[in-house]
Amino acid sequence: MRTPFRIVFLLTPLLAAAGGCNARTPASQADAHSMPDMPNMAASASGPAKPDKADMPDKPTTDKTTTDKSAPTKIVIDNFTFDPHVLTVAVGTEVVWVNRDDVPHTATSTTKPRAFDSGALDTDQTYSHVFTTAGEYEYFCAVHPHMTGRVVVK
Amino acid sequence: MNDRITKDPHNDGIDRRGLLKCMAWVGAGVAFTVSGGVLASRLLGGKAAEAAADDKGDFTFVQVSDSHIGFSKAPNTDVAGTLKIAVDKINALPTAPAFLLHTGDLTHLSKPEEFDAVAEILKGAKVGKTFFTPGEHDVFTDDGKRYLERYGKGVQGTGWQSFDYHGVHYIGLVNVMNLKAGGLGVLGQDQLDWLKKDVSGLGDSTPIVVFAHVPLWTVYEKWGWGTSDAEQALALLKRFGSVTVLNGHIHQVLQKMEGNVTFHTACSTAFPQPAPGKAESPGPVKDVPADKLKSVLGLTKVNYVEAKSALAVIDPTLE
Repeated sequence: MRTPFRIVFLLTPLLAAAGGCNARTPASQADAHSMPDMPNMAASASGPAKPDKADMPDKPTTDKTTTDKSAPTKIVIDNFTFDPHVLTVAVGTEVVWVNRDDVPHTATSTTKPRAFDSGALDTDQTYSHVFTTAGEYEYFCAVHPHMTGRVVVK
Repeated sequence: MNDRITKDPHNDGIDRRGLLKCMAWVGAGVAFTVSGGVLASRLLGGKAAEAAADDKGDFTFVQVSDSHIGFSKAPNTDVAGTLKIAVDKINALPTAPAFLLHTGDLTHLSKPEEFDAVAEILKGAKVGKTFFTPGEHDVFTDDGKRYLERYGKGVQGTGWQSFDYHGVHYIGLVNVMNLKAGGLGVLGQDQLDWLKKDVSGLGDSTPIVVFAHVPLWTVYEKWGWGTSDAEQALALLKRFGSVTVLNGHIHQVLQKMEGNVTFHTACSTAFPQPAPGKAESPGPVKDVPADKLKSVLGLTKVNYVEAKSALAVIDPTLE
């Protein structure tokens, strides 16, 4: 009853068709123009950040959405990691995520409905959320769910 | 080729070591022979491979994956251009493929203009029909709304589907929806229930081809390269003499055979990713010289051939 057959895979590299393709490389710097919106806190707020404890939130920011009522604390997304992995802040603190990777990520709360959700953060884009209620907030990247982090609000 | 074959007891051009080496060799062709549910394979390479594969094919289909339209960084600032090259390659095939399977990550950020650009480019492919299954990049901003607006016609649930062609049953699965923190890809119970029903009327000898974005076997858990409930799906397919699983997501060619199931991942048309665990993160491999880029991108062509007994080569060491 069984029909003998074979399936042949051919993985076709694109190299052979090189005539129709371009090979430009220098243009990528253009992406850096999206940076002026960035909070200028890399120099001021980093300090001796502890990997799993709170930063002291007392630095102003130039972030586009901030109202300067509270001092933001930064979580950097780099190499598919949220850094710091666990961040502890006081109630009312604004937390800002910035994506330093070449691929998009999100900071998405694991609860449903979501306590917060950044949506797509492309390279160098930021998202901020003010934590007004004490608690532990687990979150992850909806594109790369193996990336997880936690914000502890006291 | 010679250095890949050290033991060849069946004179079929393959030994275990040969196949393992081939896994890292992008641009290779591999012929799978299935006869009575027993699978064997042999290596093919370059033009000889194309010639052999085009030789006696009943029909051909192609798999394109991970186009990531919208990506514009190193090592590829022109992903539309490389997708167009893939289409040109398809159109240059001696026999027009019966259909094209796109195994997801059509877009980079699920933007409408990215979807539009993909559709426009793929319109140029001379294939009978194109089938899609989404990647996480196509659905993560809106739970797949935009994707389903475009490709939701005639599919079930969040985009799963099946169809038959020349006696082969094709199943498109979706394993990028409702992803959980810390987790792998997931199919979900609804889809598994559907799958059970979908295959219930099929005879064991029906060849099955499954296509989905994230690999249906765990390639590298730490990077999320696997599907948590894939085993339940594969259990439903266990009785079939031949199951071929085509995935994308990891932007490189990997193959694995387990019982009657052959797993195969395709190249991206946009950028390569590192081998499992060979980098700090699964981010794009950036330092690809411009003149080498197109050698690490590609597409997969699958020929379906009714076997003559002489071709039903068996190599039991490949298990």
